[in-house]
Amino acid sequence: MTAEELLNEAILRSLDGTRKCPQSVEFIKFLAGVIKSLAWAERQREKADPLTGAVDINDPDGHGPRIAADDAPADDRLEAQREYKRIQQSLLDLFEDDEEVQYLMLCRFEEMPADEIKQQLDMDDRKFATVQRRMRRRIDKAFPEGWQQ
Amino acid sequence: MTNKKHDPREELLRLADSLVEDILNTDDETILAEAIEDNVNIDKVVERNFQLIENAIVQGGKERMAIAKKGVQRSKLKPLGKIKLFPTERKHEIIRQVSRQRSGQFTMAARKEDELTEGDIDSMLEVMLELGIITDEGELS
Repeated sequence: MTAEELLNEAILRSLDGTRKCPQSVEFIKFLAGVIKSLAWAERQREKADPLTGAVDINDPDGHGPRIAADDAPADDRLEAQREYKRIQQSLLDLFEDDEEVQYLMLCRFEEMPADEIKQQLDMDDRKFATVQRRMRRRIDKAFPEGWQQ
Repeated sequence: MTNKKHDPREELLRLADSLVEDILNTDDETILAEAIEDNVNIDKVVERNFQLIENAIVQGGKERMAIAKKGVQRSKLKPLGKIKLFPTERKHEIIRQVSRQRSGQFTMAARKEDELTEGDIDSMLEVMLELGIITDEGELS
């Protein structure tokens, strides 16, 4: 499912009432939540269907590396793992001059809670937001259309 | 570092989640300032997003229409079959029998049977057939 298809589906489900936006939640955040949930469901479906494979998260248009499903042949899985390692390294290389972001990225890979990251990097909320933003901005600029091979 | 499962794809997805989270936590003015700084054609982006929403609305309308059509299709009554070919008097008789058996439910129609057209009679019989009040043979169930 491409990024546009995900957005389209999220809007459709909001319109037909399948997903309801609570009054207390900002609509954009609500929509992002629906998209995330749809993407998660799609990933589960892909895992269950070895023939479907999957699309890359950084490649919404589907031109990037093909990901092997969990029960794909071992060679394909190995190749996919290598490809993802390569993407990770490319992202880290983007910040060769910025150790703070590199460390933050490694923490994000491991889903470390923000509070723990802040503690380890000795950052307050403001500093943390600045570093996080620096990471996002540079990745956005380096890969405006998502990851391409 | 925590001891999460070391899967590069999962790790990238976690990073992507954190980037999205960051966007959601950034206020509109900052996002707008970033877009201007990056020379983004904001009008074009807004137009594209409106287009996406409009397309979704149109698609949603079409899907609702298709669902409604299916619903109508499903709700179509069973065809009368051979009952439709019965002589008019036989059809009246069926309605009278039903009316007698179920007094109160079809009396008005029965009282006005002289005013009923052939189409009205068939419609009533269709409903009776659908409700299982009469059989395909026109007998009372």
